[in-house]
Amino acid sequence: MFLQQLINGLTLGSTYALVAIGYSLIFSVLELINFANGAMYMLGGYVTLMVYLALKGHFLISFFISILVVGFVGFSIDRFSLQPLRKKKSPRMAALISTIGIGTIIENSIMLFFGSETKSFPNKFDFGKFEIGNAIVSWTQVIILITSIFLMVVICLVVYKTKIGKAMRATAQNVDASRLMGIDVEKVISITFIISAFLATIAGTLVSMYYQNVDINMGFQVGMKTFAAAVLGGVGVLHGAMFGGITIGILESLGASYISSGYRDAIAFAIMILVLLFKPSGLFGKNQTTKL
Amino acid sequence: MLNKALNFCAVNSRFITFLFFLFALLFPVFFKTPYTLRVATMSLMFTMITLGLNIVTGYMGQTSFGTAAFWGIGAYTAAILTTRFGFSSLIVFLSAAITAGLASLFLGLCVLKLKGYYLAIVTLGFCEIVRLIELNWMSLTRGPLGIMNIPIISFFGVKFKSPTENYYLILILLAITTYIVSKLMNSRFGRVISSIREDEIATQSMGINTVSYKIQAFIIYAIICGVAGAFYAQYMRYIDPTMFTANQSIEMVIMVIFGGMASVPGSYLGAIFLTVLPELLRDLLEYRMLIYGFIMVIMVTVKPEGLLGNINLIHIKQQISLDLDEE
Amino acid sequence: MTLILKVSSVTQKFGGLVALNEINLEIKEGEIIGIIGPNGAGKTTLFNVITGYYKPTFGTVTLLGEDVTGKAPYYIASLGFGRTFQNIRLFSKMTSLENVMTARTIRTNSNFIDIIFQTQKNKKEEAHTKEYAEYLLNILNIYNYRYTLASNLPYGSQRKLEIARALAIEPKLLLLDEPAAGMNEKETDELTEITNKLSGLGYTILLIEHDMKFVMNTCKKISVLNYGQQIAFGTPNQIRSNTDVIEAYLGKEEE
Repeated sequence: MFLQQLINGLTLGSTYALVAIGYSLIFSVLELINFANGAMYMLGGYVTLMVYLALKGHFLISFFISILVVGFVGFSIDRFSLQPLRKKKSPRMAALISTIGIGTIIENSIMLFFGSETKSFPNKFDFGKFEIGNAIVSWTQVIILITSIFLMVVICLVVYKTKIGKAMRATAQNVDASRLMGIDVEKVISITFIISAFLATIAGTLVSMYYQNVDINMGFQVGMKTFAAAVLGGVGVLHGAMFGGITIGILESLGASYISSGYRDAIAFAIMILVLLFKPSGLFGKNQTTKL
Repeated sequence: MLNKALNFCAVNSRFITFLFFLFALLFPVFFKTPYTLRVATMSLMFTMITLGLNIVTGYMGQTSFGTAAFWGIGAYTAAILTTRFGFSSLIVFLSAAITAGLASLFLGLCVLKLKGYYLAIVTLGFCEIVRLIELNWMSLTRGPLGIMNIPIISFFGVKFKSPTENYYLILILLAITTYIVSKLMNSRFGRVISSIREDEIATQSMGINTVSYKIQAFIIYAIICGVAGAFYAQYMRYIDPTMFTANQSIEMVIMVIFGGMASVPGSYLGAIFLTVLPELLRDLLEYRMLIYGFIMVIMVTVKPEGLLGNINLIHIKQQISLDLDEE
Repeated sequence: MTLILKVSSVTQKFGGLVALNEINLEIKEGEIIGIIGPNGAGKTTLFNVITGYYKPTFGTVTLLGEDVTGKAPYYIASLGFGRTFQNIRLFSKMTSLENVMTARTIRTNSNFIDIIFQTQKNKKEEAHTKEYAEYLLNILNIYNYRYTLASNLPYGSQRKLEIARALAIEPKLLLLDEPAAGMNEKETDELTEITNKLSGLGYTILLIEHDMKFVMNTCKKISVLNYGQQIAFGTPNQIRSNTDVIEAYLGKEEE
């Protein structure tokens, strides 16, 4: 039983990690919590479904198109609503509220377009199950886990080994200095948004595949939990987000079976509040001192 | 032109307030249909809540997405006390104030050391947790079934049967809330609250324990929402957890952002406009949240302090007195 | 004369960086003492340690006999410190009068009941707070700006408003962090006059400044910091001719 829950949690948690990375990247570069992240996760699942139904098949192509579409949405969010706020030097809460508004717009547009009933989602990677001990593992889970881990490795490589990654890290440390060094900060920000949109889309599609449905509450619920994951690991810290995502996934799974399934969703929030109480910088974050 | 209008409002603010309440008093005489009265009653209730939220979000600058939680706690307190124990409304309102206040004290102690955006998200999480408790604690709240047949409001044996009577009750509650909020925000307490928004570190350098003041502001806000919730439960006579969601909290924040931050008239404007508008656009009901989303994004980009946010009637009055001195 | 502030062996390390090294300082009632030194010498760090924003790695800060090392900033301030900041921290959307009235808060104690029921106590307190605030604005020569929003004030007046605020709690010790920064000659002369006036009124003042003319014309004693160490302490004349000090400022013009 324990092993089963562990595996389930690990699978789900790896997808949480992807979305949590999105939060962390944007936070480290902009010091902004992108509340529309959950909406993009939801959009990813729905767009994949929509294209799949329109093309009457070709799952992988639908997936790919979805990634591009939501990537563009992510880019637009920054370009058309957040960049103007930056130019106006608006206070940070303005951007946060803006992303909440945008998340609301996206989620409700999806609801209006698709209706509010849960829709079934194909699982093209249903290759059966196998056993480990007394736990049953499906190949879908394995594929999800492998894909997520692969993506996490790719992101790490991008952030630590590429030029654009360096630019991102520089911007995260000091925006003005980066600008003075010739880094196109706006481009870096756009790319960060696109990457986080990619990750959200992929996570959204994978999870929809796993549960074989999409529902209208996807966005908000997962949005909150993955933010909690990012907080747990330390917002702005890459490996923190990964650790946080997987941990929350596992704790949720265990908590749901050993405590109560009704309160399952509360676990992530409770963890988040506890972390913010006792170690606000998260497990891997550094304490910031305010300059006077 | 606009300046002249503002000057007029500033100098005659008492008279204008009197006119508004006179209109509100006479409203049921001219608009008797239950539907209209219901919309009016709800507008007034939401105005009360918006005033409470404005203290914390407008004056103090700490965005809170926990409003629905406190509103819900007040509502459930009222519902449980009246259906299970038959307490009369006076006790129920007081209890709702106390439970909501305690909840916010608990939340505040945990959370008020946090910076702006973390606070916002924790309040959102708190809202969700409260909703989940309402949904799952079956023995207390009957979970998703909700609580039905909540008795109508009665004070000392007098039952408030008609919509008109309930309307006047909420009008009185709103008037009291408005008075309290106005007095508080224009006092020593209010100056501290506003200064916390402006620069908390500077406020601390004046020897002021800002954490204590933040908690006090949160408690007042929660109490106002709790009392409104108690009214809501006894008015609607049925409540369930779906009525107190994070979406509701977000809607209340929109009322503040839209109408005007740190503005009493702004709270009225935001709450009444955004309560009446969905009723006028009944056919567009499903588009409601979508429209709210757009309002949020547009307001925050174009006029972040809200429509009436930058208008401080007291400052205007002071400027006028300076001009008069010069003559 | 009462000892207002005593800083003993204060050392402040940030990781490997030693920002302050065994600083000792004593201020008696009524004195004006200046702290000078090149940029990065640790002057503002010292202020921040004194006012509780930093807890020093070693050493103690004693205010009026009470050990306040590392206590909360608001608590230390409530004992009787008023301070201004290097980067102006005014309440922009509040008027000058409101800024100073807010600073007066801890010297009043109307509670919710008083406020809501508009008791005599509250009315008297509010009137007195307003009067006292206007009195302070007058001392700083910005009474005319009392109803102006802080963000609309000219720069020099903003700095003066910061000082007026710091005076509101009737501080035992006034800490001024670069009060003359960004001021032109005329404004600095006025500030010199005001600072001396404040000293004449009995305020004890500790200030950080780069403007030598201002420091020489106001401070009775000067402490010079460099790389976190105190390299000299004495009267303006002693400091002016101190070779260590001149060396530290090598390349800088003395006015």
